[in-house]
Amino acid sequence: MAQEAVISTFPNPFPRPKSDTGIWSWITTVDHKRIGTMYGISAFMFFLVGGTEALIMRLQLARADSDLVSPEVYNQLFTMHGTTMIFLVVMPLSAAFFNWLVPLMIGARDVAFPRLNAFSYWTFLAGGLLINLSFAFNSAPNAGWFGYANLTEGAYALGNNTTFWVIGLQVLGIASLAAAFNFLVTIINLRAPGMSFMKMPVFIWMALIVQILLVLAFPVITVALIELQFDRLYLTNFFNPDAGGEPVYWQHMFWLFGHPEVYILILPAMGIVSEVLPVFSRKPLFGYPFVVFAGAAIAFMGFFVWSHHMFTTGLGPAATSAFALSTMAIAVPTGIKIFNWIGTIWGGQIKLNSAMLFSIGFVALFIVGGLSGVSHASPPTDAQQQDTYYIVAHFHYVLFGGSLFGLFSGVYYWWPKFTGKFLSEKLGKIHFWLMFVGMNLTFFPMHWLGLDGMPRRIFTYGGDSGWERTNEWITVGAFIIALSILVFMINYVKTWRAGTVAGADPWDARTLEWSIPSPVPVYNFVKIPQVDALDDWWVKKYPETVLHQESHDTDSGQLAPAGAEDVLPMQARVSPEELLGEDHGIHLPDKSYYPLIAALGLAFFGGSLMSAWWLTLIAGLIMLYGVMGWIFEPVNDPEDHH
Amino acid sequence: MTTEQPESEQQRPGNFLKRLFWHGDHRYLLIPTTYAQEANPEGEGPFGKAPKTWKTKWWDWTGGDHASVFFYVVVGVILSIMTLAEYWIFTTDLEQVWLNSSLFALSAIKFFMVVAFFMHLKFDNKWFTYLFASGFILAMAIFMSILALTDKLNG
Amino acid sequence: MAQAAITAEHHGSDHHEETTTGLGHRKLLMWSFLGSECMFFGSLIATYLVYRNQSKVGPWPDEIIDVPLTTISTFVLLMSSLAMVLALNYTQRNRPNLARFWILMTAALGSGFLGFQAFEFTEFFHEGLTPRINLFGTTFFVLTGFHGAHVTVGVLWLLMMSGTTTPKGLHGITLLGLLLAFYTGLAGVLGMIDVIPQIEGTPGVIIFIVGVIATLGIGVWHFSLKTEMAVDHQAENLEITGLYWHFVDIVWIVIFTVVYLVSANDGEALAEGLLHG
Repeated sequence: MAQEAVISTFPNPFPRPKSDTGIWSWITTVDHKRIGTMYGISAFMFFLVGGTEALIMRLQLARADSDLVSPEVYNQLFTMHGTTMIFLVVMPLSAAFFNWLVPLMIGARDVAFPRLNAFSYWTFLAGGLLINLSFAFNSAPNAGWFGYANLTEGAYALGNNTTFWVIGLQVLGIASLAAAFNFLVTIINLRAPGMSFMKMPVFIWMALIVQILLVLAFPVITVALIELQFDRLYLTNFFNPDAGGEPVYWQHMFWLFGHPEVYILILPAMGIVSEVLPVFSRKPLFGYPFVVFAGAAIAFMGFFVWSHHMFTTGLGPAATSAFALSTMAIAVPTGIKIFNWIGTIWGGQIKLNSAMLFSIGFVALFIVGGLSGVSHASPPTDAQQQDTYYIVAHFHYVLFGGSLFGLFSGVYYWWPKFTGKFLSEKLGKIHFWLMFVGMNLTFFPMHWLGLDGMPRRIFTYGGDSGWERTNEWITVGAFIIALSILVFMINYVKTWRAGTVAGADPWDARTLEWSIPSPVPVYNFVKIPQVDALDDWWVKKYPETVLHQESHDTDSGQLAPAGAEDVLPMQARVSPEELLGEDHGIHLPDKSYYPLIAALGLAFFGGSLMSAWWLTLIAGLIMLYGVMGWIFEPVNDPEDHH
Repeated sequence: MTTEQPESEQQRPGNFLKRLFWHGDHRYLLIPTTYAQEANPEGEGPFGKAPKTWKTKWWDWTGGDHASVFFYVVVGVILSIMTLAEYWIFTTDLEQVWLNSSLFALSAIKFFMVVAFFMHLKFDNKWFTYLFASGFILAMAIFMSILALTDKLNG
Repeated sequence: MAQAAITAEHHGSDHHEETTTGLGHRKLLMWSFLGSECMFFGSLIATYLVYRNQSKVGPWPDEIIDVPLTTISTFVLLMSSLAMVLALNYTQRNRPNLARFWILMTAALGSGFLGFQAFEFTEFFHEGLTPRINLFGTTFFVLTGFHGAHVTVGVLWLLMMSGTTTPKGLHGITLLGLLLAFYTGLAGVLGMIDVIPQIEGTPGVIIFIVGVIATLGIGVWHFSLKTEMAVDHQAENLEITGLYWHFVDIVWIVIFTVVYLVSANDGEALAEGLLHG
């Protein structure tokens, strides 16, 4: 090894973490599966926080002229509910699925940058805790999740409330961007041999599109937040009308990010549904290329509709018409997807288990949300609906009825793969029906309230408004949703102790992750699979069905000679014990402290901007130390190899 | 192995400009790539191999399968001249619209020259072009629309 | 204390890793990052243009902006790009000493650009343009400041890369010294432009000079090292550094046109005309 050129040396005070068990093995992990699990658990915790905030708001609104919470607290509640649910629940839950499934579905052993992946998670967690830490200082963000300038300027939003929001989002944005670059490179660069783009599962396609959206949309909010932060902390003039600044420009910047963000939230769920529906209908996805291209079209068009959030700011007839048209046009690819999902179920051998019910629930509720969305693509009706509960109803149908139902569908579907055990079907169905009924009871009446003129973001309303009875029912619905989540938690606890053990491929599914044991061994694939077709695992299991159905496919001719030894799930049969006996040459990246140190330093740095300058200096040094240690630390310690 | 290979030497065009942009596979105006791995040419200084005779051979060092130091220096000189031209245009009394459009045109050419030659995007894998162009084109489209929406396009 | 040494084999392990496209992970990451940065700087430049001629009070660009000076600094940054591509060229051809010369030249030219920017900021500051005074100041300082921050990161990165071409590789201690020296210089600059009031004025200048001398000293010492080792395994790393560096350069090409050449003659009269006309 005399030829080895030393590139760098660095004094490393910590011994490299080695243990595979215990708390530190989780804290220093770079394994995509463990990071995915941590994303999921953290996001679920934040879901409970955000849900509690919603329940307090519903209790407050259940009665007219209620004084359960003060207007100030109510402002904090609705701001933090929105911020939490979007940035701390739906996005990280999607990230949990990306982490778990992207390497498994494309046949890789890990993501492209395992330590960057750990950094993304810890930055997300630190950012989420930072933004929630504001409650401890009694200064939770209170200016809405969109932080409209100039209400968020230092002169109008006193205290640190909005500063917490700005810095928290900035930290979360860095976490999202780091994860997005990672998955983008992973999907482009780590697909199994033979997996061309049109042989990728739809979920991977949607993941790819979401990463592109994140990469291109998040810099805009980063800049907008920087500008707002400079206005607040250093008294610059970006959104200060006295100096000529335009508050409407904040809205442009925010919604330039905000509308692609909507598709960042919904496309992962669409991907999950596109995986679940074919499996439980025992049919391939109807019109795979159309679903894929519709997803890409939605993402592209999503960048050119932002001003429909701003119809009432007076953009002028030409701009308003243009954005109305582009917004309505986006319903076309969305409609293509919905018809394809229905076409997938049509004539299939439908198995109505929890995962399938949630997926069908997604399609049904998303249609409702989509239709109300088209209704305010029209500027005159939008002017009527702006800032009313009609809008609240709309985005909860797409975000709760859409994203969250899709994500729960994914939870029930992939739970056996994640844990090796089934969730209880009985409790799962109770969960679904409670959540479905509760969701509609909560959000459907909001359409009526909105059209009747009940504004959003008001902490109470007069008894003479006639809204009290409806609001009562909405509150009942919200608690039914809470009950359904409780059922899910009971399900989790019960099956964790005594769940039915699931095999490698309990659903007789179609994609690569089901070809390996459940729970997944740490190295995922003993041998990186060779992919020959879309739904490769299904094709390998049942070559005859595919040849029959897709005889027009030129590729399918090559599948015919597949012998039994290729067809049978060889990998599923190899036990981890067997593997330990021999060295397969599988090198997994070593664990590391540095992503955690860098992430904590980053969040500390952000938070310290509200405090003394020497704290900022310390935080900067911690961050620098984390980054330098990371740079100087080899992916694998040399001792491992020799 | 040296830069000049006997068989490709025979196919070399005579014209200076064509030689500068010759790619070695019968195509002109293809700028040399930078990825050919080859042994160190002898006597290389900070500005590349010293030419044997100034009159006939000095541009021959370019061409072949890979870009040379000389090629990069030529790109650098062109970029500098364009920067000077920008300054000269700025000092003239051109009409506003001509002034701005010529300045933006020069700036765009400089931009694409650096991206294509210094960042090697012209020769590199198309994936890099897709990734960069998606950001660049989207940024242009969106921020042009923003300027149009705020009536700043002709300001 | 365990010495963690990154050797060519371990560091470059993902070079040899088979990828679907045959491209390196990190280079792919860098290009997608640059795509993302287009949106970042696009947003900042759009902010500048949206707020062009919107200031309510002076100083105005025509009283402030010094185009000849910035033309020179633009030229310096452009030449640093040329130096960068030469450094990569020599790294690919396994010429460690020439590669280190051009890497350090790139860093020096980049620091020169930063020096011009610091001088320019100080001048503007003393002529009354601050980030708080009007919209021009706000948008100008934030746009060019973020570009300058990118250049700073690039210079540090280059200094690290020059270390990897030295006989014993990049030492953490050397890097710490470099960082410390560089930040001392930077703190001096911030003091000179009154960002850090504690070291305003002469102390700022002295600190700046100390920082620059220390940085240059370590740089010169670095350059004096001679080695015959192979460096072509570093080519992809340096190429990625170079991609970042060239991107910072092309952003400046746009900023130079938009902020300096096109709007240098914006003045009070124009702003008034837009306001009333």
